[in-house]
Amino acid sequence: MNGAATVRERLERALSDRYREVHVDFGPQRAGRISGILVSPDFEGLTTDQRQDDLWDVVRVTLGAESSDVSTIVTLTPDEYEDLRP
Amino acid sequence: MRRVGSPREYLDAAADRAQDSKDLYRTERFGGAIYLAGVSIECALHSFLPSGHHLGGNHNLALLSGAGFSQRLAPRRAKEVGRILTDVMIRWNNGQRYYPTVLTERLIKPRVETYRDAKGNANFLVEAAYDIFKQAFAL
Repeated sequence: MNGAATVRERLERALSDRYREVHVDFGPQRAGRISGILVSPDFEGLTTDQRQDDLWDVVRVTLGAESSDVSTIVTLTPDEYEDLRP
Repeated sequence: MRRVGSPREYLDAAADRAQDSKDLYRTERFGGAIYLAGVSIECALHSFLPSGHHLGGNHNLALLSGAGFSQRLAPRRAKEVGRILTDVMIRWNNGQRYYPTVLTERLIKPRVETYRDAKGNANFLVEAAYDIFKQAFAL
């Protein structure tokens, strides 16, 4: 089962397990390195350094050597994400 | 009027807007400094978009970055730049060009732990713009 899942699918599943009410927006591109936005109320009260530390712990534990397939991921609370709407 | 289109022109525009932002910061025009710092980052990210992309009118910095800049970034820099982009996106959006400085300050202040005032926010964004800009030039 795990062997058939793509890196993207495995990461999305791990993020859903780790964070509450998670919303993942990795953009329209399906090829190339994974990059985009991760939204969860779990980021409230955390500094941006703490958010990234936590996220990258999940990435490394989940993907190991394939972590290099992941690039920048912006970590926002739901309120911060809502403010991005035009 | 000719449309800006080449990666070099976008990178030059990023440098110009970053300098404009610093100049406004020095003269304590913090609302303008904040807005132009964000525009500078947006221009830098535009310079890495592949030809034929469909993000021309999009101001979402994370998506703009993901389509080009983030693809070329060294894996060891991904976490650091993800943090910088997060800090910038908490403090900036394209709609701020319509805001008086006092509104920019009021909207941002409750959500940024280290935020003190418009001056501090402008300084942070100006420095972040330069960080992204320098990395863009290094790629």
